[in-house]
This record gives sequence, structure tokens and C-alpha cells, in this order.
Amino acid sequence: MSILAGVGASTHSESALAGRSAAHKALANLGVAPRLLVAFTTEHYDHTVVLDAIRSVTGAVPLLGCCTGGLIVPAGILPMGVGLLALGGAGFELALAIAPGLSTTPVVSAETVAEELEAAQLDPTAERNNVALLFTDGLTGSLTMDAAIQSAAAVLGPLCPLFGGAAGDSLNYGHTVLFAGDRIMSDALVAAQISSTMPIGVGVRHGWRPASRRMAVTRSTGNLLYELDGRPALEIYRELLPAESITAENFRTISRYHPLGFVQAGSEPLVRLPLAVTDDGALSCVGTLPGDAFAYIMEGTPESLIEAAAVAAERAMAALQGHPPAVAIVINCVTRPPLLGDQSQAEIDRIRSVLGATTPFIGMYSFGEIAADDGPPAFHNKTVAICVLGSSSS
Amino acid sequence: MVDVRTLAEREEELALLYEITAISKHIANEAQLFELTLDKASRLLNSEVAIIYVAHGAEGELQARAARGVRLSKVAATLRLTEAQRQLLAETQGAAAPCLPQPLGPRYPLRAALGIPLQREQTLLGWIYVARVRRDSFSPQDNSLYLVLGEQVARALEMLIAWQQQQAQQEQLRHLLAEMQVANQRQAELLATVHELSTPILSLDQRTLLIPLIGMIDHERAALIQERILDAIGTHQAQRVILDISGVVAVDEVVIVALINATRAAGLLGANVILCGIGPEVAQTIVSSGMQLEARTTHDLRGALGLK
Repeated sequence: MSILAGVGASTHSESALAGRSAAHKALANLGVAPRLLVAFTTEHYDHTVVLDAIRSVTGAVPLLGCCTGGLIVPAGILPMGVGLLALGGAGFELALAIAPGLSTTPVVSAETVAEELEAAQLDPTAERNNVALLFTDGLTGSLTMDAAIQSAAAVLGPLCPLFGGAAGDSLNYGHTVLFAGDRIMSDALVAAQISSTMPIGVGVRHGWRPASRRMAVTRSTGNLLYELDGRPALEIYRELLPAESITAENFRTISRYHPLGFVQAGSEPLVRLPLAVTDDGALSCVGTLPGDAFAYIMEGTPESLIEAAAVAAERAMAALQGHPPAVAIVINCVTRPPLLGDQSQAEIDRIRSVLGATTPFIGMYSFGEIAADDGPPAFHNKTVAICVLGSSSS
Repeated sequence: MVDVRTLAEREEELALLYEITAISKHIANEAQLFELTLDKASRLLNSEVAIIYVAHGAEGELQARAARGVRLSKVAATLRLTEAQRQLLAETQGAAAPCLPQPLGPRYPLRAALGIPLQREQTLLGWIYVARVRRDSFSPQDNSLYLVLGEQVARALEMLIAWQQQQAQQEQLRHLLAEMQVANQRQAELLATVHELSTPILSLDQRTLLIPLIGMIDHERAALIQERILDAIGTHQAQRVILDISGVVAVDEVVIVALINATRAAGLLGANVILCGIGPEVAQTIVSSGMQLEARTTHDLRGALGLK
């Protein structure tokens, strides 16, 4: 009753070749018949061709995945490529669902997906360990992501935590897609429930630290932050970072290194990335802002971010309670590499050092991370989330 | 007892307290209060499940109103707390939390749970249930924070209920006022109909109107009769108006003055007035009054119709 995994990746520029190559490698590394595929691509491909190519090798195996801001595979970080995780073995059950309408009907879409998973009744007696891999459109859904996550979590319940990320591109903020079987959709969410007899571990950390005093959010709505401590939020940023000469135009490149952090009990602050300044002076953030909250302006260093990634991996591994990891999935925010610079690979290496050099893993650079650490699920920004599926000890 | 918490931990707790206490600002909107409460109970204080119950109906009965981490349809729709359970508050925790009602039933192997009464004075306004699946306890700090959360939510709920009651009363008053206005309108319409019926106007031909006067005539009705006669003359372009006073209960000076005035006014509009239905008693009264009628008179309607 084990879970087996194989990962394959290709950086071939031709869609069909990249898809087939990744699939061949994944199946070769898996060594048994695949039962679930997780595919990550980048914006450089014809995704229909990629999926057809993968399925021409694997057959009609349940598949989910998305277009990403870059791949994380054993060979390293791939700004362009196709990555495929193939899961096999008898140690898990699975169900798959996809629904459109993330930006317009997030609650309905999320409930549709979650209800389809729930209807599969993979764990009717609540004796197994579950996780719902969830991928969403990060370009159309940043305003509705929180509602979708809460709705899906309510249907699936606390015994099936959510884990995943928001699809995107190479920070062009253009167009992205999600996959489910042979279907390709945008503005959608796709999920696969994995129900295993072995433990499943999840770790979430970001490594950003408060750089300001704690401030009350005195005016905000949805994802828009107007005021901190009764003053325009942009003014607070300018005051804190006088050397940056912040304008509405250059704000995005500066806020990337100074996100907002919202206080939470017993864990790191919830990070929200302000991306733009609206005409009326509000900071437009990725994700909904907590109401009546207290916030910091944050800062990070390559060291703090790398250390956080290692802690996320350690927490995921610790949840396996001694069971060896069968496979790890890494969801890493696409805006972390700009701060990490040439240490981006060092971050991945630290994660691998915790997971074990031989543990198969695949990852994506995301437009938001979806995970529950040891509390409720949340939509994160600028964070690393790691899920490890445990295997049998023998 | 020595506080061993670091400055950062105390700073964090202070921030959490500040955030929780902001809840009591939200008293105008129940949905917003519940949403904020669930956010604080779940995200802020790190519990996977949070359910809000509100007192409803029979004393001690609680109705599930909002939930986070689980569908509202999957929790017990109503609960009834024993006195002992109301007192438990943050003291109960641990794997089974046996003393608390279990809104989720046995399907959810929750590892720690808290029940937080929403109480003002001695009145139970509601109850918040929070539970953890991955962690197996609530720390003393967690308990304290949830206790403050409960106080704040109870305060907001109390004000919200008072506000809603005030709104309901205002609505009731508005409703009563509207009903009174409708009743007044109906009464006015009825009165107009009565007035109209009390002075019927019959068109005998294109130029002749017959106006039978019936019942008692006082000052007010006399003025109304004159107004109706003049209106009718204008509307029908009448040249001859027969006023039949045989149905008038008593002809006194008021009636005589009214008839004189009506006759003069009709004359100004170009119409001749014929008074009919004048019996001996009425004739005697007119003569005794010393007033001069300018209209032609007849004993009965037939005589009036016979006049040119």
C-alpha cells in the first residue's frame, strides 16, 4: 500500500516534444502504471499540444495542473519548460474536478469542485489522511481567491486541507490556464483529492519580518488598502523608505521587497503583496485584506527567506511522523526570486536537503499559495508551501 | 507568577487584543459582524473550525448562524446548553472536550475544542464553538484571547439586537402611520361620496337641472349645496335649476338664507331658480322671516316643470 512517484521535465521549445519528453521521463522514474499526473508548464507553449503529447504517452490518466511562473524540478529552476509528476501505487485514492467562473462566481465554482470531490467519498469513515491539491487562475482570481478557498474548505471540511497555488506566467500578467484531464480552462479552479493511508505533511513559511511599527488598518475594502493609522498607506511607505523615492509608477518594484504583513496568533503574519496604486491612492493587493486588522510593512533577506523555506520543509516532514516521503510538491511565490537573486537555487537546495536528496519532487512558481499549516487554509503571498506525501516505512 | 513571554510575544498578543476589540464597532450589520467574528476566531486565532450560534426562540435554545471551515448545513442546527456548559468557557479543552455540545458529531475527530458563551449580564445571547484538528490544545493565551473575543462579540451582538429592535419599532411605527394615512384617505373619500349623495343633481334636459334637497341643512351643508349648485350650472350650462325642498326636514332661517344665496349666485351665472315643494308651513316660515326670495316658487315638482 505505497505511493510511488516519478518526475520528468523538459525544456524543449517545441510543445509536443516537451510534453512527450517530460512524460517519458516521469513514467520511467515512476516505474509502475501512473494513476495521477500533475503537470506544470510555462507560458511559452501551446498547452493543447502539450497535454495531447503527455496523454499520448501516459494514456488517459487523471491529470491536473496549470501554467506557472516557472518550474522547480530536481534538475533545477526552469523559467521555461514542461514538468510532470506521475503518481502510482496502491497507497492512495483520488478524485478530480474542475469548474470555471473563479472571478465571477467564486463560491459556486469552489463549491462545485469541492462537492464533486466530496461525492467521490474517498474517506467516508474519516480514517485516512487527505489533501485536496488545488490550482486556481492567479491572474483573474486574486480578488476572489479567499472566498473560493473558504468555500472549498467548508465543503471538504478540516480533515481534507487544501494545498496548491495560483497559476500565472512569467510576471507578464497576461494569460494563464489550468488543466484537468484533457480540458484546458482559464478563470477556473481545478482540484484533486488524494486520500492516503499514510500521513501527509504540509509546511508553510515566508521568512518576511516586520520592518515597521505595528499599524492599524483604518481604511480598507476588499483588496484595497487606503489608510494605515489614519494616514494614506502610500505616505507611510514613503516615510519608511525615504531613499526609494516612491511613486505610483515605481511602487510595484519596491513593494515586492516590502509586502504587508497581518498579525496572526502563533504563526507568521499573513503576507499581502501590494501591486499597484489606484487613482484614488489605494494600494491594490493580491488577495483580500483582513478586516479591522493590524499590519506591518515587512522586509526580508535572502537568508530569512531561505531559512523559512527550510522550516516549511521541516514542518511538512515532521508531520510524516517518521514515515519516509514518497513525493513532495513545492509551491513557491513567483516574486521571491527577485529578492533571492542568484540564491534562488540555494533556496531549492535547502528544501531538498530537508526532504532528502532522493525524494521525488516537483514545484511551481505561483501567483499565490494555498495551504493550511496547522490552522485554517489561507491564500498566501510571497510564501513557500510544501506538501509531502508519506510512504510506508518498509 | 513571572511572565516568561518575550517582548515580541507580548507585542503580538497586544496586537491580537487590539484587533479583537475592534469587533465591537460593528453593530449595524449582522452578516459583517459574523464574518469578522469568524475571521478572528479562525484565521487570527488559528482554529480550523468556528461556528456561531445565536439565542433563538425558547430560552436556552441556540441556532447555528454562521460557520467557517465547515458547511453550516453540516453542523447541528440548534443546541441547548446546560447551565454547567454555559459556565465552562475556556476551561474545557483536550481531545474529547466531553462537556461541550458537539455541533459536528463524531465524524470529525477534533483534537481540541472551546465553547465561548456570548453573554451580557445574565443573558445568553449566543455561543461560539471553535475547534482544532491539527493541534491538540489551546494555550492559556489562546483561552484568554478567545475570552476577550467572546466579550467583544457579545457586546456587539447586544448592541446589534438593540439596534434591530429599534429598527423593528421604527418600522412598526412607519407601518402604523401608513395605515392611518390610508384610513384617513378612505374616510375623506367616503365623506366626499356622502356629500355628493346628499345633494344629488339630476339633469332633466339639456338646460334644466333638478336638485332635490333632503334631510337637515346646517351652515356647513348650506355652503356645500351652494358650491354644488354653482358647479353643476357651470358643468351643464344649465339655464334653469329646480330646487326641490320637499325633503328638507326643517326649513329655518339657515335654510332660507342658503336658498336666497344660491338663487342670487345662480342668477349671476345666468340661470333661473325655481323653488318647489313649498308647503303651507314653509311658506309661513318664509313670510315670518321677512326675507325676500328672488326665485319663483311652486307647491310641487309638477308645477315647477310646468313653468317656462
